Amino acid sequence: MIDFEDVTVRLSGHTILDGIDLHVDRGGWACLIGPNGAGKTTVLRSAIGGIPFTGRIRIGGEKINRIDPSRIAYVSQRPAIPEGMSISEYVRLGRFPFGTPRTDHRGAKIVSELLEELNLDSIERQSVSSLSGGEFQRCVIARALVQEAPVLLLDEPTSALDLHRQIAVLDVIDRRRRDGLTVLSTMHDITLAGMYSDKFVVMDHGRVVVEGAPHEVANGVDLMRTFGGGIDVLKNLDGLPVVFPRRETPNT
Amino acid sequence: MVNQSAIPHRSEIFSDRLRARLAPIIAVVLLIAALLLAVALGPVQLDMGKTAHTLLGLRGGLVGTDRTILLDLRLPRVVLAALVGAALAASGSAYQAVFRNPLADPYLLGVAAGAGLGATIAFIGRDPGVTPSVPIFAFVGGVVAVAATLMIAGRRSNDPPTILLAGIAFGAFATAIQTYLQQRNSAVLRPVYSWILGQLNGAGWSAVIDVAPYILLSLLALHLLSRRMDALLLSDDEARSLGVHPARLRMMVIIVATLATSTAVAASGLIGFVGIVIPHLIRSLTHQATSRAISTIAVAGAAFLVLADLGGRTIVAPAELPIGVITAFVGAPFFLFVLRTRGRGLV
Repeated sequence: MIDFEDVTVRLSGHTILDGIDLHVDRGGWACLIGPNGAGKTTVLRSAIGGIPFTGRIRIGGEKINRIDPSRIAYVSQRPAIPEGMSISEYVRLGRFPFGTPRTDHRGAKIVSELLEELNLDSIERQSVSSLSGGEFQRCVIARALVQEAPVLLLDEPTSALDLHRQIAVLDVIDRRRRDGLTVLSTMHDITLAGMYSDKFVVMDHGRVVVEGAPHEVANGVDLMRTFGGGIDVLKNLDGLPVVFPRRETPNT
Repeated sequence: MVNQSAIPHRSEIFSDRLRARLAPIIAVVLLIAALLLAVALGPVQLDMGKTAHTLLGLRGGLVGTDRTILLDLRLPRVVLAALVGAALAASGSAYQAVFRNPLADPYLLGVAAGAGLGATIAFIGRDPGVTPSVPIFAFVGGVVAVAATLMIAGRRSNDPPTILLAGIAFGAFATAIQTYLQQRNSAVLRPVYSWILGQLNGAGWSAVIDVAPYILLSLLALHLLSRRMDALLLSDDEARSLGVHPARLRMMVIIVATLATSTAVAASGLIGFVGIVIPHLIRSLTHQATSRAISTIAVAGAAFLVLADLGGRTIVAPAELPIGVITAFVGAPFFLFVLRTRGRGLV
């Protein structure tokens, strides 16, 4: 569904991405894993035209010439918080490319469905600037999902959410993935990433180091090589990897 | 769990949708009432009914001197006030969206300083007094100032804080030159000062015809851009993902709003406060943070300035108060009152 071919990004003499090749199938969920500065966010930004690149990015086999909000949606790691805007106004921003409230009949329905699904309906008139980090992050995800684009890019979508909210929000996205949504995300929490994605793409220094199913890729050796330092990988009851960084001087 | 029982802090008496629908209607009614009051009241009181008949071209209207006072003296001045008010309020709202800054006003990028310098140069070149070249010099000064600001910001002119700082720096530079010129030519101090305070007196139809095309075109352009301007309330990457080119859109809005502001300044001097107080007030009353309210903001700005001008020429009649004094004197306390009573959600 989304393909990156030899995508290279150079900024003032530095190579940020070095010939990235990446493919995510329709209904797939690929997760970019790697240390800070590996280029994960840059991969996502290149797909929404946020950064100039060489190479090709295709969605559904078609090269992206200009960004089409009906085909790709994006959740930023650092979303702007518009002052004084209500939650429902904010979520509706995701529908503005599809016409005015008068012409976009689908808009009102999908917005109210998502507000309900993300437990935002009871507070929809509150101002987004008054929300907790977790509430606002749900608004951002709702705003991206109302676009109903077949491809969703998520940059650290759960960083502000508590344990159960992480699951609740990712479940909302996962339900759409089962219906054919294609997801490409970055996540620092490798354990959580392994619960949702079917493919790990491990990146370092702007390159793809290794990719494959989470249980294959998330082994201590590969991760230690990429992240440096000691890493323990256990398996949970479902056989999925549980990843911890190892402390060099244990707490006694 | 997140607190689901949180009470919405906004008043539930009028739904947001109702507010959004009613606001433009109320603003238009207010503008019509303000226009009617402003043309009827003054040193010579005109009969409201007859005034309305004259304006609508019906029989039984005013005749003789009254008719001349209405059509040739008051009406052009009131229309000019409406145009200037609409231009300042709408461009203030546009700048606030573009710079994601609730304190942005139409004079932000050096328009005021540039226009002030232009006007000073025009006054020095002529006999003291309002000369036809003053508006032209002020307009050119304002536009040149914004162009210079954008050039100083250079390749980083996509970055709002950089443009703002460049605007402040260029404004200080232009003001320094203006002050120096005034020191060297003390005869122009008084006319420049009275121009800076803002004035609409002596405005005839020719002034209206000079500014109307620019202001109306800019207002139309801002209205057409307003839906896409909403995307600028998000981060640039988020705006891009919604199909908007933030740098290009921001530049377009700045150019249009600068054209409107420079025209307004050329016609009426520096009238403060309209560009901040009206957008905030309307957004707070309509509960719309988005730019969709921009047309309502323009109409409300027109009504506000028409009333301010009416106050300016009636409060201390037969003398006149500069309109800039009225907008700040009435606008500032009213704004503070609203700010305190409404508390949250005003921005």
